[in-house]
Amino acid sequence: MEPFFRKLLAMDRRWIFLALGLAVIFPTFIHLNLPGLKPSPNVTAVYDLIEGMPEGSKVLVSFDFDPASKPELAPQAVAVLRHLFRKKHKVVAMGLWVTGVTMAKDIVTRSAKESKAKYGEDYVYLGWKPGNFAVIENMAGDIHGCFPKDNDGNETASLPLMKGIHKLAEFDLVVSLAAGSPGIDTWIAYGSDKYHFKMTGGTTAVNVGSMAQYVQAGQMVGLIGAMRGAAEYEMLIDKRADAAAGMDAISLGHYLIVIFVLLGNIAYFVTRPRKGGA
Amino acid sequence: MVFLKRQLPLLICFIIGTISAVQYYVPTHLSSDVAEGLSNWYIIVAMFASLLGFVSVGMVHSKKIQRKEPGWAYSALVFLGIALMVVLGFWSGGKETYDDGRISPFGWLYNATLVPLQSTMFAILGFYVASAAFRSFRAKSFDAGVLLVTALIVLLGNVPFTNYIWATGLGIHDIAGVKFEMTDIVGWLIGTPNAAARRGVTFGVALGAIATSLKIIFGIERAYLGGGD
Repeated sequence: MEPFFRKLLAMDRRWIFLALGLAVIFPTFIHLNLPGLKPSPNVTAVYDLIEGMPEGSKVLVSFDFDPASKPELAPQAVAVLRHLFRKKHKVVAMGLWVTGVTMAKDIVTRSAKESKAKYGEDYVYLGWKPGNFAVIENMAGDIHGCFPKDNDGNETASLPLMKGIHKLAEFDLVVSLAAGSPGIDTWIAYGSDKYHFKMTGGTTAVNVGSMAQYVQAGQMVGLIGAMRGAAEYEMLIDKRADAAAGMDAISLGHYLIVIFVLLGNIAYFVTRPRKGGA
Repeated sequence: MVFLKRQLPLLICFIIGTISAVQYYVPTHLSSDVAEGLSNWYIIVAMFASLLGFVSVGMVHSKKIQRKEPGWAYSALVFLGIALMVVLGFWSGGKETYDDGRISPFGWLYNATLVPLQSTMFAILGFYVASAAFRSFRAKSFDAGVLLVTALIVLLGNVPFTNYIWATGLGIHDIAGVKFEMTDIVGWLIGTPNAAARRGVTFGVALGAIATSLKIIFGIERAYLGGGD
């Protein structure tokens, strides 16, 4: 067995790339629809929060990510927006990441169109402003001052929806979909902890671990984690979409990495020099 | 000159730093107004910092082109990219889509370049992670073994199909009345040992940030003033 494992350890890494590529591409052509997905408590908490708010509640959705995290966070955004529009909540969208402005606008516009939401009355897209945490501080005092115009150049104060919203604390909920900083932690530190509004959000797989502490401490309600979280949310709103479709690829990718780790370790133990050996 | 270069920045830093720190703990309208005013200033300064960053990037890459350093063509591409984005941005009136719903050249450039480039860069990480996991993730010691087993549990537990096999195939739902599905194990790992470690790191970083901020406010740490006289 030893020569085989030695050969395995010396394998060109491009074979690994190829295997992973195939594992991810294969399910996009042949849907496996692997069973087992069920909503986790954290995702259910986000859903229950939005579901339980009275119709017409004002919700701020902050797109704190860029195209690099689009596959994980865009399905979350679409699912949450569908739910918000379905419940007839009023949505104000914005972003703290400059490279995500156009992408966020596209997601918001498409979701609104699908739900027949009217711009200015049911939703508004403010866009981006430089300043990172300072934008949150600024919005806490005067949203119209911080965003005198929306992303399309309309006077913010002239939009019917924005006439009833002047400060961050007037939102019934703030949702941050974040791939890093500025993101959920920024909104908590400079926004919700100080100005006392309800927070929830979603993040990428690598950030779920860092955000768990905020959920436990009650600083945010629930958390949508990665594409799996988005798929769970799609399940809750009964609308299978991109996340559910991507779960097979994610699953096979995970399994393949587990196999690689196991194989690597077996090969390591079989081929390592023995104590007292030559 | 020394006053303008040294004392004045230190004085501004001391006053603004102290006000910013104190206002956080004073829940009055005046305090909120001060915070809003300061954040306005911060946004203005951040804009100038962006401009400074832009100039700095320009200088670095123009020097590379001038000296024909290895990879200078990439530096030329930086300028080409910036110019293209700025020209198309102005041409499209800064809009990604026109009022009739058509996508503008600016929006097209964003969708056709930035989105796939960033997505590709991030996706490539997945391939390197797979390769690194195979080559480097070894149980060479007890600690590394614990990490390895934990990682495998989290990896497997994050796949819904594993939960399905665990609960339906193996029929494990609870042990002695305690919920023991795969998601519960992963949830405990993330919510207890992981969260405890993260909190420790967060506290450490926060204490470090407070110490550094105090050193800057009181003029002990002056590296931000730059070198020279």
